[in-house]
Amino acid sequence: MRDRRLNPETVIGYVLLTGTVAATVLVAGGVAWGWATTGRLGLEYRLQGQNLLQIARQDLADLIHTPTPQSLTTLGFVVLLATPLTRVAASLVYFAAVGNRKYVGFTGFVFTVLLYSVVIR
Amino acid sequence: MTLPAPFPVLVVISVLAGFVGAMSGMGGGVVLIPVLTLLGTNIKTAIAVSMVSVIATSSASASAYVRDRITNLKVGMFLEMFTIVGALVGATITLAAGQRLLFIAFGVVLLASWVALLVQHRYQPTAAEDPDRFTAWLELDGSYVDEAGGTTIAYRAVRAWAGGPLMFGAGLVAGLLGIGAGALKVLIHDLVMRLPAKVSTTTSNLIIGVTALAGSSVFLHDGLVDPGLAAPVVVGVVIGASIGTRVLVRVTNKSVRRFFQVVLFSLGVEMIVRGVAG
Repeated sequence: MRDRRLNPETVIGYVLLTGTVAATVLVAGGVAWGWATTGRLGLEYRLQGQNLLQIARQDLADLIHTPTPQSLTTLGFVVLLATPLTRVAASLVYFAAVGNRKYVGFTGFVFTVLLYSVVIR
Repeated sequence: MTLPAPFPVLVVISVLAGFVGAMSGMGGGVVLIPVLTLLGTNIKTAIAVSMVSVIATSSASASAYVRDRITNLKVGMFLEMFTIVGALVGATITLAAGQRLLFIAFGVVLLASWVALLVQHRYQPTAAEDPDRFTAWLELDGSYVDEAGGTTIAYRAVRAWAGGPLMFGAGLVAGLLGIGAGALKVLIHDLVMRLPAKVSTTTSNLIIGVTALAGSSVFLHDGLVDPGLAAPVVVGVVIGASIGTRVLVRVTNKSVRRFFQVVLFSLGVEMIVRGVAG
C-alpha cells in the first residue's frame, strides 16, 4: 500500500495535477463555448499583456465585466503557467518548514528568477 | 492569427505528438514543431506554442511520479537552478536567431538525441560510487519502492558539480527549441550523476515543467504565444500523452526504443534538409 498521507510529495503532486486538469478544462471550455456561440471551432485572438500578471489582471477584468470564450481560454493558460510556479512555491514552503536553509536558498533562487521572468518583467 | 490547419486536424496532430512524446519520454515538441512548420507555421511561433504545451504534459505526468515518491525533489530543485537560466538564455537566442539556423539546430538536436538513445541503450550501470564532498553536502541521496520487485531501492547521486552545469546546456536546448529536452536531462542523470533509471526519468519530468515555464516567459514577453494555436495543441497533447503513458506500460522497452529511433532520425534529417534548402 502506498502512503497517501499529507506529505510534501502528495501536496506537490496534487498542485501539479489540479493545475493541469483545471487548465485543460478551461481551455477546452473556452473553445467549446466559442463553437456553441459562433458555430466555428477555434479562437483567433492575441493575449493582452506581456507577462502573467498583466494577462491575468486583464483577463479577470474581462471575465467579470464582459465574459467571452477567449477570456475563459486565457484563464486556462494563466492557470497552466501558474502551475509550475505554485509547485516551486510549495517546495519553498516545505523546505522552510523543515528548516533546510540550503534548499530554501536553492528553491528561493528558482522562485525569484521565475517570478521575475514570468510575473514581473 | 489564422490557424495553419482546421482545428480538429490540429487536435489530431497534437494527440499524435503527445502520444509519441509520452512513449519516448521526450515530450510532444519533437513531433509537433516539425509538423506545424510543415503546415506553414513560423518556426518561432511553433517553438513558443510547443513550449507552453510542454508545461502541460510535464506537469500532468510529474504529478503521478511525485505522489509515488519516486521523484527526488532535492535533485530537482538543485538542477532547476541551472536549467531555468539555460532556458532563459536559449529562448532569448531563439528570438534573435534566423529561421534556417533554428531548423538546422532542431535537426541536429534530434539526431544527437537519437545517438543519446543508442548510447543509453548500451550503458550498463556500474557498481555504486561514493559521492564527492560537494554532492554529499547537497544531500542528494534517497530511496524509492520498486513496485515490480516489491523492494526498496536506495541510491546516492554523484558528480553534482558536473551535473549542474551540464543541465544549463539541457535547459538552453529546451529554451532554444521549445522542447522538453528530456533525453539530454535523463542522460545527464544516468551517465553523470548515476541516478537509477526511474528516479532519473521522473525527476527529469519535474524539471522539464519549470524549465518550459522559464522559456515560455521569454516568448510570452515577445508576443509569440498564439493562444488560438495553443488551445488545440495543449488539449491534444495532454490527451495524447495520457494515452501514451497508458500504452507505454503494455509494450516492451525494445519496441518503444526502436519506434522512437526511427521517428527521431527521420525528423532530424528532414529538419536539417529544410534548414539547408531554406
